Amino acid sequence: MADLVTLTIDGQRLQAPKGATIWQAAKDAGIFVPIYCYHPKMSPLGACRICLVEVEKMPKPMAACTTTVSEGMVVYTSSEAAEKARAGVMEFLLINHPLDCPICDKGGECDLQNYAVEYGREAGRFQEEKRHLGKAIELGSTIVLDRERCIMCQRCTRFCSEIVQEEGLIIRERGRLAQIGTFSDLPYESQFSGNVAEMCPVGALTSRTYRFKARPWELKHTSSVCPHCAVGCNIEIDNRLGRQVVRFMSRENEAVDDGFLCDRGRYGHGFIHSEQRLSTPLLRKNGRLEPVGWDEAFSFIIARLQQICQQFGSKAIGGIAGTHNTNEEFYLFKRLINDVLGSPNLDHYHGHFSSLNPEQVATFHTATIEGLDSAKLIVLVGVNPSVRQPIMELRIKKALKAGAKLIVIGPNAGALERFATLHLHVPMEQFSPAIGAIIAAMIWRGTAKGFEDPSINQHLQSVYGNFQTGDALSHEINRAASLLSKAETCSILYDEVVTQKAANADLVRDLINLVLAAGQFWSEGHGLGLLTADNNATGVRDLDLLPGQGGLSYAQMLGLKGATHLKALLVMGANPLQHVQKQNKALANLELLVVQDMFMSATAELAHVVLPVASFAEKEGTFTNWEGRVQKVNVSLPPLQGTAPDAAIILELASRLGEVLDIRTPSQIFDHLARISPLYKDMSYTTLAGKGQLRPLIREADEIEVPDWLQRATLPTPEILRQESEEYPNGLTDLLDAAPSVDVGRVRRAEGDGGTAR
Amino acid sequence: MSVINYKSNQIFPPPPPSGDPTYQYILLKHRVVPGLRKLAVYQKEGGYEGLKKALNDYQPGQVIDLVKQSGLRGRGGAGFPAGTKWSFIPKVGGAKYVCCNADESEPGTFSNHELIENNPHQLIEGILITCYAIGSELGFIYIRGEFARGARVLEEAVKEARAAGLVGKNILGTGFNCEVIVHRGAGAYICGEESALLESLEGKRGFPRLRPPFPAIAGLYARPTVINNSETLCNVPHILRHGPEWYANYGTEKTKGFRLYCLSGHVERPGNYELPCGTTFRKLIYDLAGGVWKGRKLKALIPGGSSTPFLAATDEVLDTPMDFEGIAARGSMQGSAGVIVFDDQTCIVGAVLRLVEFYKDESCGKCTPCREGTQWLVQILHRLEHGEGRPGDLELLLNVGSNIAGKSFCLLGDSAPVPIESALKLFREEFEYHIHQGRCMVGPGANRPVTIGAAH
Ligand SMILES: Cc1cc2nc3c(=O)[nH]c(=O)nc-3n(C[C@H](O)[C@H](O)[C@H](O)COP(=O)(O)O)c2cc1C
Ligand code: SF4
Ligand code: SF4
Ligand code: FES
Repeated sequence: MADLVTLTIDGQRLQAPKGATIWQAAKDAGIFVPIYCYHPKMSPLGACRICLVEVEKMPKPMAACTTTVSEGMVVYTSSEAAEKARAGVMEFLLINHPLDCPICDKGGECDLQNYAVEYGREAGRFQEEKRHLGKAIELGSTIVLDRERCIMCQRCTRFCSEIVQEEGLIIRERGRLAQIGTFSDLPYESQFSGNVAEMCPVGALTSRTYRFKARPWELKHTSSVCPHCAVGCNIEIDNRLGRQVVRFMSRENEAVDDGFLCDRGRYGHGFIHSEQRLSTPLLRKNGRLEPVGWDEAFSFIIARLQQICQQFGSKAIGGIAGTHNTNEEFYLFKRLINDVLGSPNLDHYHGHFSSLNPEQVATFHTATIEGLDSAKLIVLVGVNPSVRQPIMELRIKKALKAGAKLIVIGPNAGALERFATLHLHVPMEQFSPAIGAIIAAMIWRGTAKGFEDPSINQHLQSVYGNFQTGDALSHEINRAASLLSKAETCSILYDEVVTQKAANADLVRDLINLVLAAGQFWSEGHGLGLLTADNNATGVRDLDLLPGQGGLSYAQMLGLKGATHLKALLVMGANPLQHVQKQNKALANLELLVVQDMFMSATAELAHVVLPVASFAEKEGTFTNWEGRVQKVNVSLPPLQGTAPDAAIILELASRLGEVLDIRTPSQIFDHLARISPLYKDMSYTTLAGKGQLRPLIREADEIEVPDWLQRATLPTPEILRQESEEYPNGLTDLLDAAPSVDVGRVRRAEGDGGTAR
Repeated sequence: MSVINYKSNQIFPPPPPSGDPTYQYILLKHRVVPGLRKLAVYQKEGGYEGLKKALNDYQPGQVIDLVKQSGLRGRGGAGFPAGTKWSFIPKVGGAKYVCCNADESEPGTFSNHELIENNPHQLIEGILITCYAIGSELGFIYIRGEFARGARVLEEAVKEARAAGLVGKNILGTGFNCEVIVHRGAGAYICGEESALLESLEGKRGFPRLRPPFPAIAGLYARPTVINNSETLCNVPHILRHGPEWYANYGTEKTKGFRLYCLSGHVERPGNYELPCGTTFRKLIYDLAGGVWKGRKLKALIPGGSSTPFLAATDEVLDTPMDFEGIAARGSMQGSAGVIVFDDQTCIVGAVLRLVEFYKDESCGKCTPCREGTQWLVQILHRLEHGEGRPGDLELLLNVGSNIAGKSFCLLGDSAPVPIESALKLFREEFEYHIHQGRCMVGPGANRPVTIGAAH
């Protein structure tokens, strides 16, 4: 191949891609070269010099992390010259380093300590006074700095400037006095702050939540997925001696998190050991919830259910699932409600926002997280990732840094706002007209890419051809049309909450039409993306936890659409009372309200029975993130004494109702899903472990007929387009400012024990 | 004798009258033409004729060729041929920049200082011609922060030139547009290193950049950029005006022209001496500058600024022509042509300590060997100087130095151990004396009582 070069490293002839660094080539060949300042996510720096290697024909040792390979290059990573160079660097790094290892959090997993063993001298030659700098400096609410331990690798400062692209950590002073800090000693506050502690190769930056909590060799590492939003960043749950989860660390998955976590995720483990966790079933006796044994609780539920069934029929029973359970638990819950109890009244926490069914979502939503990296244009429609899907903020910033342009439609896009090429600050009811106007402008300019395809051409023409854009915002609309026409690849992301507004019932159609007009329909990884907030909001829809034929919806079960015949309601991991008024008649009138949760909630307060459940760290199963990637969580700890995983509870209920479900374990369930659901077709539980797997696109033929419902797009009225100036009366800003419900419901409860940093 | 008159513009004494016909003022013409700082006087002396010629008579590429033919080499230190450097600028559209390096911070170097304060238009004209040659419309002068006066003089001169239509739009009616911006540094030696200069000019911390990409491809704001020393650029108007052959008449085979030798240290008449390249040390120090001061003997000299190795006071050295090749043949470097003279009463240990301290203070801190190593070197030297040397210190110094040189990110680190290595080669016994006797072997410190705790 033309773009490979052949070189020799330590006598091994190998090929490496042109432009690769010696370090990369060596690594790929299994040859270890130490690094400190180099970080694969940041531009090479060449500062620490620990990676020096000998290169033939070069007068001096070269930094492996910054020197690119060339044809015929001969490299020695452990020749005398290379070893001397590295030993020298090692010695320099150690002369002023404090002898803190026994009390340093990093001791045991410290690159300095480890390489010192490898390249350091047995005895020091430095007999001068060590440099003294500040220790245990609280930089902000999350991070503590020890300036003496710092080796000036600039990973932390570059993370702030290159990746977060915000003011954060900087270097102050010069030369030997150089030290990490902030401008004017302002506190270092960032919702990505924990990453600097993770990437610091030494113990200079530590997390307040983890300081002095454990020694690395006491930790057991479990692969898992962050439960705090719909991105599903890959984490490692580290528990100490099998007893206590002490930290979450990133378990890099390039396709999802790029190796970073937000602080909500990273520090959001306090809830697992919160004092307030429920640890015994509660049964309402004389109007009060009282602790009872599991058997008593189950017997009560079964008796009530059977009685209600007999008296009112199975349609008097309903089930509401949350958006945080595993797919397998959703499956079991659905089986319980639909099959065992025989009721069609099934829905999930938010009800369904989108006018599309799950299969349509999987057909038209092609955007992926990784796809953003190659997007030339990103359009955010009512999206504020900084609050709702934090790590997406970094991913989008990465794309913008690589040259992508950004259009923001709707309210302020938080931290991304200042990067926008174009803002269309229209109120939420006007999203559809605004999108319609952009499509019309593209047609009018003759730049709609759909025009290359006659059928799409016809479709777009017929829907938007006569659309009058009017004068309002015409400059912005035209700019947007022009940006969309020019962009080779484009990702259009909208937040699920925007579809909640009645005015946006057809928004998804308009967005799909926009994707057609922008020529992104066949572009894999780009096109439309539905940003959900809760960690398994996608899974619960994929599993079809939606009302069956004649079944009651979420709102109906809560009596928001009038009185119902509902007598019993089973709630798994949800707090619907949060969405309705406190004195909700429908819930108050129930004869049986069962709530499965980790904590008391407003809904649980009303329940007849509350069943304490295991946390995500205490069970296994799969979550599906917003782009449709199914990822696996594993058991780090056994369930807290007195609690049980939701799955076990459902299986027990089913068997007491006389139905022993034969598909029971997570792997059985998932493999079953892979057989029966087109969404998870051909996946398998075993191959999910590791990096997860993206849901296949449900597109069989190369061509897709423009479906009816797409053509029936309502013609929005453009004249009313207006620039929204200040407050958003419709409350979208509030909605967007709401973090995923897990925060509200769970993490906040854990704040008491220092579990979160926010 | 040199008396520094702070009120006069000429803070350096003029060289003595000399019968030598090769001795003349070209870059230093201000010494004989009062008021040359003013545009009118500068023009009367033929100023901006080089620019006129360039704009009217030559295509940009031809200007580059002329400078190539002249043999002009960079004055910043490395001596890279200026015309060749300009020819690396790709012929692409879009912004390109010329950055004049006026950060002049190398100990022993002060030619830019005098040129800028006294003849600013010469530099501005050089920048304009360079911009024209490479297709740039914007030149920056990155001037050392401490040169407050120089910066004011330059700003004043740019204003004058703009008013006269020499800077700005449609210069001299030729359609050539060019702006010149004076930017003051904040006082860091490292910002004289070209890539750190660019970072600093962009408003970032003065850390050297990784190369490649080289400035000619991606320099200031990632655009093609030429960086030249002020003195290099000051030569350009003269080359245009008098032609490359005239210029190449001066100097030696490989180092053409004349240059300002900055003479400092223990000589009778320190200052800038404008001499044809290749003049010998002897001529500079003894014939022109009156020899070593106080009638003392020459002990050693540093030929090209603090980053170049010491040379011994031998006849062979004194008769060495001061050009890149000549000095290299003696094991040192031409560098920035800052010639520092040491008399025989100088304790070399103290001198080396002072030199290395400079590198310790100016290390930018980016890379490990320089940041940590320079501090260590100074700690050891400090002990030595103050009578607390230990056996093994000299080997340690050399070994630590060898772990810095060639391992650092930029040349600053590589230069830091240079004084130690070269001084130890020439004067090892003085270091040993310090270790064993706890005081200097020569100079005033020789009479110092032995410090307690010293003397092994
Ligand atoms: C540490 C360091 C400091 C330097 N300082 C200066 C300086 O003050 N002035 C200067 O012209 N060049 C300085 N240089 C050299 C520049 O990097 C660059 O080579 C020079 O400006 C190029 O100009 P020239 O080709 O005209 O010599 C320095 C180099 C290093 C490594
Ligand atoms: S604090 Fe850590 S990450 Fe930051 S520069 Fe120092 S060693 Fe590197
Ligand atoms: S050698 Fe290293 S620390 Fe020293 S000035 Fe250069 S980059 Fe900075
Ligand atoms: S890892 Fe290569 S220089 Fe730091």
